[in-house]
Amino acid sequence: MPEDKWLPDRHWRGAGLSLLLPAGALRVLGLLLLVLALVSLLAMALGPLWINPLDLQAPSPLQQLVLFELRWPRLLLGLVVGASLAVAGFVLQSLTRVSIAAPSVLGLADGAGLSVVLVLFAGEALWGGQLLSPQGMALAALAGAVAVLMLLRGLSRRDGDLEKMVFAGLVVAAICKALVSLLLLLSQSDMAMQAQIWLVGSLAQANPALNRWLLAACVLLLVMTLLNYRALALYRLSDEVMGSLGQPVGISQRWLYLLAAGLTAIAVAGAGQVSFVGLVVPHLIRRICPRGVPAQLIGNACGGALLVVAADVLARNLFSPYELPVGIFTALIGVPCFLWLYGRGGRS
Amino acid sequence: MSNFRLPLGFLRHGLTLRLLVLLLSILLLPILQLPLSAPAYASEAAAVRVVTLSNDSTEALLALGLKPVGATRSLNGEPWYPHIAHQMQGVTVVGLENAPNLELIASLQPDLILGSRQQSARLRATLERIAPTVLVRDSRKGWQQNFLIFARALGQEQAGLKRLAEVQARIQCLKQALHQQPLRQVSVLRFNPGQVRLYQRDSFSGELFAALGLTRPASQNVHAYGVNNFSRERIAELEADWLFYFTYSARRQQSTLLYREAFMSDPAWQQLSVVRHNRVRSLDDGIWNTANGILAAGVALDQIPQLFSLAVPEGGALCRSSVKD
Repeated sequence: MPEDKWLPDRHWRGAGLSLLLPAGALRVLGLLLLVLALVSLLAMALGPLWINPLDLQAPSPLQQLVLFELRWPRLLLGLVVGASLAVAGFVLQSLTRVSIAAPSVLGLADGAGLSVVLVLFAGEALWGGQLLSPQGMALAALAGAVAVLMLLRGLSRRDGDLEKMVFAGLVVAAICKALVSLLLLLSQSDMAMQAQIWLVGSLAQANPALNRWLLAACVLLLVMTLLNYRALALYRLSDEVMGSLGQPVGISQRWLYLLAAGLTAIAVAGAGQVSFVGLVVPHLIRRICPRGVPAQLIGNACGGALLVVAADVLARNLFSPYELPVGIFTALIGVPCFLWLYGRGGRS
Repeated sequence: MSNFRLPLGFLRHGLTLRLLVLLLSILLLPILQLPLSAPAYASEAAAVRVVTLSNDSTEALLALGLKPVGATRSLNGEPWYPHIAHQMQGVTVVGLENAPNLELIASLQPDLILGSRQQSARLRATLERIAPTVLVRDSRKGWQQNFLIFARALGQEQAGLKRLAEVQARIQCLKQALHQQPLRQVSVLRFNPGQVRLYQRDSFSGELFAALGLTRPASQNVHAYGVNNFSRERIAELEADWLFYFTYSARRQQSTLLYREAFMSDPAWQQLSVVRHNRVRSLDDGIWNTANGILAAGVALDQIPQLFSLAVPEGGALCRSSVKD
């Protein structure tokens, strides 16, 4: 057969795309993608105005406005934020080998949030309240996340104790939270209320200008993370195995931490702080899709996106016309799923 | 472990990855090419359909004899403040001031959206795609200027100036009446859940009191909104001729009321001469603090003679407006 020399290896037929994406994982990923597509369709259809996205011959101007200007940017932002957070969580958990490591636990999200709030206030003081552009916001978030990361790495450099690093992360997260509260309390300005909204986590501010940047950055970082699957797989074992297999430990480690910080910054710049996604989704995906780092990475991206989009559908529609912060529902959906899967895993 | 052997295996999997990346980018292509249609503004000739995202803009419309098609819920209202409820029948609730429902706003097909930046700045780009949007800087500060900005946006600048002049005339009248009595220093605070906030000059009540020629104790005579977490140790700073307080009003406010009771039973509070002279008054939190609109200002001015025990002339009200709301 002429295709044969094309194929990555002989596991193609009936056994998945390759060793990296075995048939079992492919099935799970396919199912995840299907559910994600269905929930995304639901997100486009549901709202104060019911629109069937599969039955749109001649959309009215209002339908166009609602679909393309309101629901689509919001859906896209949800996908980007969810995928970024979950993959960042997975990378951090792999690197530290600590199961509670996540962007919010390690203080990356809080550092990004603090940085955004600081820049908001500085912008208020220097440019008379000109709201920052989305790019500026994203850069501020990135700076905050990277600063926290460097602090943590510096703290754990001497003995390389990863558990200590996670603990330091908890402390840094608490400090960042306290500083943000302090800033909000001290500030007389009208920015305080805006900053508050940033910290709660919401997808309401989604717009095409914001999305274009975040989507591009997210895809770039996800692909780069995916290209580093080999190093990630080894980190899940240990530094020693890695060194003995000839992988330069320091460089790829630094690189992967940076990728995680970048992904966190994308999520924070897009939606503020959305809780639980980075912590819970990697564990969920490990339960349902146990094989292979590439499969897990893709699974995390899909799973995180699914959780955030589903949570936003609920946040928008459950108490209409009042909208709730999406973070409430990521916790309300994510945690029970997690507990159920954990309980099930324990018995079998 | 054959995957780990260099370099052939890597290339193989590299191919898989390249295929995956290709697949991903193909999946992403339609996303990037989705049409982003131009803002679909309604024609300007039609009757003005306005959505208001803040209560001060809602009141600006009502004061100019207009009615919004949609408005965010009043902060303490169910859904509207009592002083505007009778004018708000049939108006759609479009969510909360800090979380308006954009879709619902779009489905009302407004010609104009009014609100404030302190609440809605992050939504501006999206709001602009629904309809032209005018946001004032901060609803809580400069209600007179804000009212004029809204009037101008509605194309009713003259009517707005006239309406404002009426209110200002009433303020001047009351100012003279207040100057004929000696008790002109006022202290303002609010009981929030678990804390007290001291109010300063750049707040709705602060601006009203200043316009009426009333003075403030030193710690309140500051161009700022207020001070959170006002400590009991500073109760002595509240000394004035009059002490006014708001109480945060949610549906279940029992804890705030208990907190207020505890604060007021503090010995330092009891020793304030304003307390001993029984010149402490409760003010409505909506009218005096959260509504921020020109109609609320009118109602607040109605309450001035009674609050300050001013002598009201026989058979008539003091400085009442000639126009009925």
